[in-house]
Amino acid sequence: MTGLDASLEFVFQVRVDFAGRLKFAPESNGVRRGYTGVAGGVVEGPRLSGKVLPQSGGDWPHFMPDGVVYFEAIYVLEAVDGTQIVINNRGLRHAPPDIVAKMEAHEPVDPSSYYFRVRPVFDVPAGPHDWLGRTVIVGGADRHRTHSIFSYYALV
Amino acid sequence: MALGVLVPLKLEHVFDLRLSFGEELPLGPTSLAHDRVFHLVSGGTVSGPRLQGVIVPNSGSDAPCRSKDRAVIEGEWLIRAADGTVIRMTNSGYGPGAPMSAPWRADVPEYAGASLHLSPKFEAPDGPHAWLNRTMFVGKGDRRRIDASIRIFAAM
Repeated sequence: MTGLDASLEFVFQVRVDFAGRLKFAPESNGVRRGYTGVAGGVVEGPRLSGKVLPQSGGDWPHFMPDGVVYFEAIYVLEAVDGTQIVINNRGLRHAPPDIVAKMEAHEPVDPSSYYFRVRPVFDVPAGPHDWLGRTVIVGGADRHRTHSIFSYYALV
Repeated sequence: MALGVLVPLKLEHVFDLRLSFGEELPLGPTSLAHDRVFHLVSGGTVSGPRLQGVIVPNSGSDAPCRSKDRAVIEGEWLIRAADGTVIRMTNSGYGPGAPMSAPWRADVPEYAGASLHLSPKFEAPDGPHAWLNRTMFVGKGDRRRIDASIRIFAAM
């Protein structure tokens, strides 16, 4: 399969500031739903700069019985030219038990000590940012108590 | 100016798929695309360092949704690993668009040469293949009218 090589190119970072968390009682299958509101944030990088539109959405994670967390966040990025872009950020996280315990206590943890990867898709109007609507992007996350910083890369 | 620590990502080649297509079922234009075609997956093989097996014959379809600026890839089929485990694969991603006047021809030059950028997902039972549920993947695809080659990378 020659010619099917792939690499990643850094495109931007997003810092998402949180506003409130909820964690719901487990369903009969042991899955717990959560909610984390998006207060705002910043977008910065070679391919996109702007902000996270305040109060524009949130994350609705699934906490699985085996410790894996599946993320499902929708909120709005606003580029410096005013273009509003809906981000649907889906991802997953898992970590060794001692790291999970620290995360649940909201203690600082090094991002290399856990696996937290996202694969966002974007709703974007035609124009200078429409490459987001036809590019496969993956990201890694650095999680903090009050915010997460996502580093995004385009598949090239 | 970076917002924080850049989480480094690297791609690890995990396996390759070779798909064969059978009947082609055009839906025709929809509100989202000028061309929606289902290609039944008649079979194929899976090979590589982390997974080996076959594509279960007639277990799904590949259905690109093609408009003038992009093709949205949607596909789903089953893999039977060499140890007998059945694994569901859901494929998504993007390919190049095509003018409305262009008939569907998967073998025209713009569809060849690693032009499909993919982000597949897998659903595997507990056991040796469960890592597929806990990993984010990207892929590159080379699509022809009767077959396709897809190379899968884990985002580590």
